[in-house]
Amino acid sequence: MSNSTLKKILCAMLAVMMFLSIAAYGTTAMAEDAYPMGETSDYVLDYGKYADVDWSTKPSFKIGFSWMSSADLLWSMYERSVRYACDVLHCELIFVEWDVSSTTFVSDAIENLCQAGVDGIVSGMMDGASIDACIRANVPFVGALNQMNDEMLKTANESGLFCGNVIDDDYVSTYNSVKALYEAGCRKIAWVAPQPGTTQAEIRSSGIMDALEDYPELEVLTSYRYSTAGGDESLNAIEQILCAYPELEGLVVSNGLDVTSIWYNTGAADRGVKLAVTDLCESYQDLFQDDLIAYCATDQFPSLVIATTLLYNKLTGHEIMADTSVQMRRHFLELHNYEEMCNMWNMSFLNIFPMTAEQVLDLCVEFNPDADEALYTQYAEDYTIENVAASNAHLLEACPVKDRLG
Amino acid sequence: MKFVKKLLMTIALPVLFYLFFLIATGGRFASSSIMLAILRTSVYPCILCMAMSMNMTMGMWDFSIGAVVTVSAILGGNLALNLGWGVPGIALFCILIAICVSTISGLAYNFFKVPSLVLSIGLAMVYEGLPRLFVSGGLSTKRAHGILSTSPYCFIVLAVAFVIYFVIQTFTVHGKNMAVIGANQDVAYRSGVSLPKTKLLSYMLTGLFAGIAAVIYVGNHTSIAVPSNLSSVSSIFDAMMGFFVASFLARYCGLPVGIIVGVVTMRILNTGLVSCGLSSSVNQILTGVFLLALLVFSANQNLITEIKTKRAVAKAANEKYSVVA
Repeated sequence: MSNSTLKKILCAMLAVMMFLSIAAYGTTAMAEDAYPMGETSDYVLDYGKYADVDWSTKPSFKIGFSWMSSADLLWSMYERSVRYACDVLHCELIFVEWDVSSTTFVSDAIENLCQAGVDGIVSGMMDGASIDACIRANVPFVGALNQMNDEMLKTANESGLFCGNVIDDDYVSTYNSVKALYEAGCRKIAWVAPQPGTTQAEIRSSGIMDALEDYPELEVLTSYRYSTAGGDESLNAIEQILCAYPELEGLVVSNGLDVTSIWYNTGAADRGVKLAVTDLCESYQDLFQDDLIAYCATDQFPSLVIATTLLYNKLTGHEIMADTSVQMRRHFLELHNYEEMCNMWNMSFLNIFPMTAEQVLDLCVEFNPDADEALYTQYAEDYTIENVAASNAHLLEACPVKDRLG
Repeated sequence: MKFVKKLLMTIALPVLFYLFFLIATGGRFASSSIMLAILRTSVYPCILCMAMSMNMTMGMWDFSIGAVVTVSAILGGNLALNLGWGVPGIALFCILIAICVSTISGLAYNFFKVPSLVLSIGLAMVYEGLPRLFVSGGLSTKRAHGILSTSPYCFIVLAVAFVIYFVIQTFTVHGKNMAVIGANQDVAYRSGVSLPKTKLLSYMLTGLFAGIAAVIYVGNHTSIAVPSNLSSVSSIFDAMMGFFVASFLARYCGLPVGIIVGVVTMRILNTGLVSCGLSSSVNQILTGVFLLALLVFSANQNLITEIKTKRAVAKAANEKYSVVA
């Protein structure tokens, strides 16, 4: 190939880049449903009976939170949830993004927050180094979303700075997944879960195992433990299972995977194979519409809000949990049909958080002197999609219902 | 006869694996839906393998291809959806962006003179972060936008990619130049092959096939998140393993056909192991053992021929020069 030909190709490439730039300039560069990182969560704040609180007399704190960057709508909601709690409490959120290229990204972020002069830290993932960093900096901290092992709980508890760990009931979610398939009439099922290695993976798998023992009528055709190292191994395995077992009636997936395309491409949708899954994916709308999802557990986000209220109580001098070594468990939101999914999505896209501002302040002694551990437990037990939709009914009615993909 | 022998050697591996798993699964593997699933899940790694082979035939490793696919899928998909151009727009923009990005890789390689393996890892990190500059979320599409990844359209896409690849490898000067550089770079240089131009063009062609792979990738995933922490690198290992098998089979059927057969062979192996109920760990171990055995055999195949030749020569010499008392 001659030099002049190569130069022509490179000129053509430049022209293509200019074309792409012009095309991009004329469009909305941000995805319509992406969350722009901002100073507020943009959630609707419904203070209810606390609407007349004089905030100038209430304490305000700097609360630190670290998490992965917001790659999609659901992932960005972790940061938005803590920001929502801070908005409600009129506190300032200091957010530090994890630098996942480092092996100590969690503790590095916690160190950064401590140096930023925060009054307290909410962490979505606690490890030993993070706990040590908080203790060295004498900063109160609270955990959420992930289990802590006994050693970490002991160290945290002894520091006097630990407010507790709020976790979602992973065991119950996968147990109920199997139960939901049974109640949907499925008798030949399979299950897919990550390889053992993390506490969450083991707990979710144990929920499946125990449910299978309790429902002996269920026949497990196969199971698969996939590597979480990346790639499409898990999706390929699910596709292969759906093809290899045409008699399959239900599939339990312990972590949210984007299986929608596979369901339709393999004919599983035509055969009416049911999916029971923990963690919601944006693409599940089609499956819900066609009544192919028997159970979907979602909405870990209030765990972060509840954790923030525990921290706020600590900072205002009130201890809620009698024994912080006992991890506070709360239920996932359980979706069984399209209507429930729509309620969930509409709240997300209409910026209505499942917990109202009034409910958040109910958990803070500074506003509600009757707030105690029993109230937290009651709230966790009452957390269902029906109750959440009911408590936000007036906000949902005031806004137009919007289907996610238009 | 020679053709029949080559044909048999080409299909021996996939057929043997298929028969093995047919027996191991008690006949379950005989289902047409499984075969269709194997072929459908082979499309993406086949096209990706074609993209990787452009550089790998010249001894250059490129770990950034996964990131190129992801960035072109996210940016191209968002552009197409925002303009309302649908599936044709997704195809157009994915391919254009992939070619542009790969051209940048090629220019960087020629300019900085850094080994391709090192450069590709650095570029993978850059490309993974690139979508975040333009879109805060990843890409969300409707099922209808993924029609090109469904059967039978995915096979049409694969066929088109295969024809382009076959023509480039077999009938173009560039294809021959790549083969010569891969055989002996010094000899190629002294023969008048322009190394920088050939390698730059290879990168651009890598982008073309990566863009086609991105179109399939968009179809397979209704939601694509922005990758991080070099997670895109793990997505190319399927294709890489297919390339190793293809290199082994190339002596019988040529590299283009070898790629198809190689990738399908690996997919039969993976699918068969899943069908046998084996976990991911066992799957990975057995796949790795197979690949190692294949590479050892391939590297030492000539050894057997050499030993046989030496023995034949020794025998002939002994017969000729032995003294009869």
